[in-house]
Amino acid sequence: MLFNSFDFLVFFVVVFAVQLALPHRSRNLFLLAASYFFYGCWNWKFLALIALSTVIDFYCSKQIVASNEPRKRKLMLCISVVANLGILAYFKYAGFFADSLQQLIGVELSSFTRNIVLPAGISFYTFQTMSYTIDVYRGEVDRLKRFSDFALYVAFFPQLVAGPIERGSKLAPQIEQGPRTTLLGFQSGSWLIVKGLFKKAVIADNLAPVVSDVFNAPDPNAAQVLIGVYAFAFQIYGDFSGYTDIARGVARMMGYDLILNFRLPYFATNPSDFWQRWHISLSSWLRDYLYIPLGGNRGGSWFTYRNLMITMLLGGLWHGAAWTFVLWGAYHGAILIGHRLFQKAFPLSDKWLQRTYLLRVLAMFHFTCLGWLIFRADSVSQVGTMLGNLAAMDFALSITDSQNLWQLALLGVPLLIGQSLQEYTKNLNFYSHLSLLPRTAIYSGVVLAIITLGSFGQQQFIYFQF
Amino acid sequence: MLPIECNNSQRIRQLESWFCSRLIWVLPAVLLVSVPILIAKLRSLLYLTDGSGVFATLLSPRGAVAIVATVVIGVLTTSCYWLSLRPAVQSVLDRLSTPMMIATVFTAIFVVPLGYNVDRIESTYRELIRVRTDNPSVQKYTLQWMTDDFADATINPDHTTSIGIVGSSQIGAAIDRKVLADSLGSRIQLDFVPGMLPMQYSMLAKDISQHDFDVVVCYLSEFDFFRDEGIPSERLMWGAKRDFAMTISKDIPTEQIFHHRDDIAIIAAAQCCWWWQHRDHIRRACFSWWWNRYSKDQSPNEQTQFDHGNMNALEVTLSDLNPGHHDLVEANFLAFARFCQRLSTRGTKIVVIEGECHSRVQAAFPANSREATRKRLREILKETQGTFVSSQDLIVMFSDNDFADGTHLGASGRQKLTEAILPVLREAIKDVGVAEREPG
Repeated sequence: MLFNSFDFLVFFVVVFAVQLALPHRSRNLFLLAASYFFYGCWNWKFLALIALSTVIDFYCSKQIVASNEPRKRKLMLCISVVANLGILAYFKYAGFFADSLQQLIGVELSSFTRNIVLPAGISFYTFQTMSYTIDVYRGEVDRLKRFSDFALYVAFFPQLVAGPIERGSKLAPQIEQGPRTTLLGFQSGSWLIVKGLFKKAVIADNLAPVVSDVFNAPDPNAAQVLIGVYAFAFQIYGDFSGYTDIARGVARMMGYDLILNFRLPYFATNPSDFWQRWHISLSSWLRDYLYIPLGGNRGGSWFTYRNLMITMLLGGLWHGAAWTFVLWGAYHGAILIGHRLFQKAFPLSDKWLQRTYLLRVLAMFHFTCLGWLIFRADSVSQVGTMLGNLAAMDFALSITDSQNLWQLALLGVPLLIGQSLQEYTKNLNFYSHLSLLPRTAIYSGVVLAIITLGSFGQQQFIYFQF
Repeated sequence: MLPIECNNSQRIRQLESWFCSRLIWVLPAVLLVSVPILIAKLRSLLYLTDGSGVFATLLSPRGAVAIVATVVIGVLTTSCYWLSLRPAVQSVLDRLSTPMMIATVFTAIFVVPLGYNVDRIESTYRELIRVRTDNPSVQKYTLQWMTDDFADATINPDHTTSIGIVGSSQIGAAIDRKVLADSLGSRIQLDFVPGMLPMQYSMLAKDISQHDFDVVVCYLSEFDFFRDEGIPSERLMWGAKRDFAMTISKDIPTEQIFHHRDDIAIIAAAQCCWWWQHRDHIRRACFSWWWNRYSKDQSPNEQTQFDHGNMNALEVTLSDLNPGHHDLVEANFLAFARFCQRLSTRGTKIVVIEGECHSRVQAAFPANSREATRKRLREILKETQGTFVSSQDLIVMFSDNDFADGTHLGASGRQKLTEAILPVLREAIKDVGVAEREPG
């Protein structure tokens, strides 16, 4: 059931109306049932997997709180982490490791892994439940007393399939207290949904064929590679941030507040700034549960670089079981390290940072785009081919390329202009606070664009595969 | 500093005031320069022509009125914007903002399309899309239906009979209209949409009946009735009117309506919302702004080499076919029956020629589907006093060499079929009681 489908519209209207009428406890039970139904629409067989993950983490967190013995607490934490990572490793990485092992030492294992189907959203909910148990262990979050509340925290349908990865400290208290729909929440939630639909159905899905044209071409020239990579940059942003906006909008209409996942990432001025703006729920997860426990920046430069590289490599692998994702992670690790080295070698004063702002944004955007090329490529050899063709500097444009370029400009430029205003005012609610005339014009334009240019029910959200 | 979600609108209002106070002075100058350029280039921009000649706007002569009007409208709008930023006005507007916004969005969706009823706007809209559509393409032919602009092979202006050839590109490629017109002395009009399916016959029955054809020729087989397992909503929404979604729902078994809910919803939305109905064309106009890729006509009949690409694509599509087990077969027959009833009540004689496909495509369908199609078509046409002509009745044998691809006849096939149906059409013309004219 995709967010941009007729089925979801009907589903949400019914869920929204019913949850309005129910008292707190029944409302939570109803939302849990609705969430399981929502997930069951993808593949009902995997409901057992969510339930298993929920039971393990509920039990472990309960034992952690109940016990005063450090060994037992640690044991329970280990059970939770091993179980979650085990589920993830089996369903997501078994095939990848089997194939890699076969290529490396020739041992045939793929017959065991061939039939493993990747459950939708597994990387998101396993990370979410894991973070909860770790937070309970650390004493940073109060344990949810009711199993049904915890099950709802794990399976809450707006963010179940592609995040944001919610922390226990943010979502769990809301579930326990049962926030209610307000007029303001309804209004801002509706706008978030409309904005998300625009990003997904208008921008991302219309750029998808442009991207496919380039990445499926056997030998694209430099101009085509550039068009394809720029288009993918907007496609993946539109797709993922569009999903997040809809998820947050849907939750907000029901009274729940989900974490902000994007802060205009293409206006980042350096790699670490980028990771504070892109997929914030994952990058903060990696920071809190991987980078800092590894030692963070406490052990000197080389330890910091090592920790950065390990974190980004695993972050890359989180996205998918393929060498291109590992390479993408390594690339981001490398540019994070490179940026730190550059900062040490050439410290810039605030005045110069201000003066070079545009240059830094432009440079970081292109570093990001290079990363997207690696991310989107089907294989490492395709990355090599495309970079080689880019270096050959053949910028001849066919009429099809011109059409693709026009489509990219038509969809990308308005988004960038709109976001530059948000960045300038440092206010992500820029449009809601505009005066009536421009706000009305923008809202009408966005709604009409969704109706006329939107592509519905054809393209899955990219992050569903992760 | 990272951008945040905050409710402080002060900085935004400051930015707006700064922008507006400058715009009010700059805009007239910008418009005075840009509007004449736009008028001079509008024809090229809209119609992708070489740009000779000034576009005659609604407010011509020579665009002077248009320039003044645009400047006045621009200045007035900016002034309103500037006024709305005054604190006193703002506090009033803030209270009314939600209902006013809802009203504006509603107006944009439901009232603005009324402008489409103005002939000039309608023709401009259609022309600017026409030049951006591939030739051949579904969009091109749906526009043709909208403008009632069909290929017409009239040999003799004094013709007394008119024959409509209705259907998909299959029939477009299968019949030589010139030979028919020449031999029968009739007006032969080709009304087709690529990929026209039985439900489209039902949808377009009213439009076709308004042409008052004496005879309508269709070319149908199991390929049309058994092929699609879903409602072709993308092909139906452009012409869906009034209660078409309801009509389709009635044709489909009740227990299957849930299965097809998405497509029925898409068609229902098209009935209610002009923007949604025309989205295929609007997307074309926006995304193909750059250039018309296929400016030269390319009719499918012109190809001389067998199209293996089409054949391979068809085989992939048909490999998933499960003709015995999908629920739309009967709905397709019901839709076609509705088309026949509508035309027969106006006295039009319907002749259905059994369609032929390449042997490899034919092999994808089970043998009983051909027999089942014949049986149902005979029943429908018996009720509506039409004629069904099976491939056996035609006494014409097609070999694989007669095909241009998996489904379309090539030049030799077209010649064979055209000759074979001539006597059938003569008979049909006699049946409707119209005197056949001597070939001119």
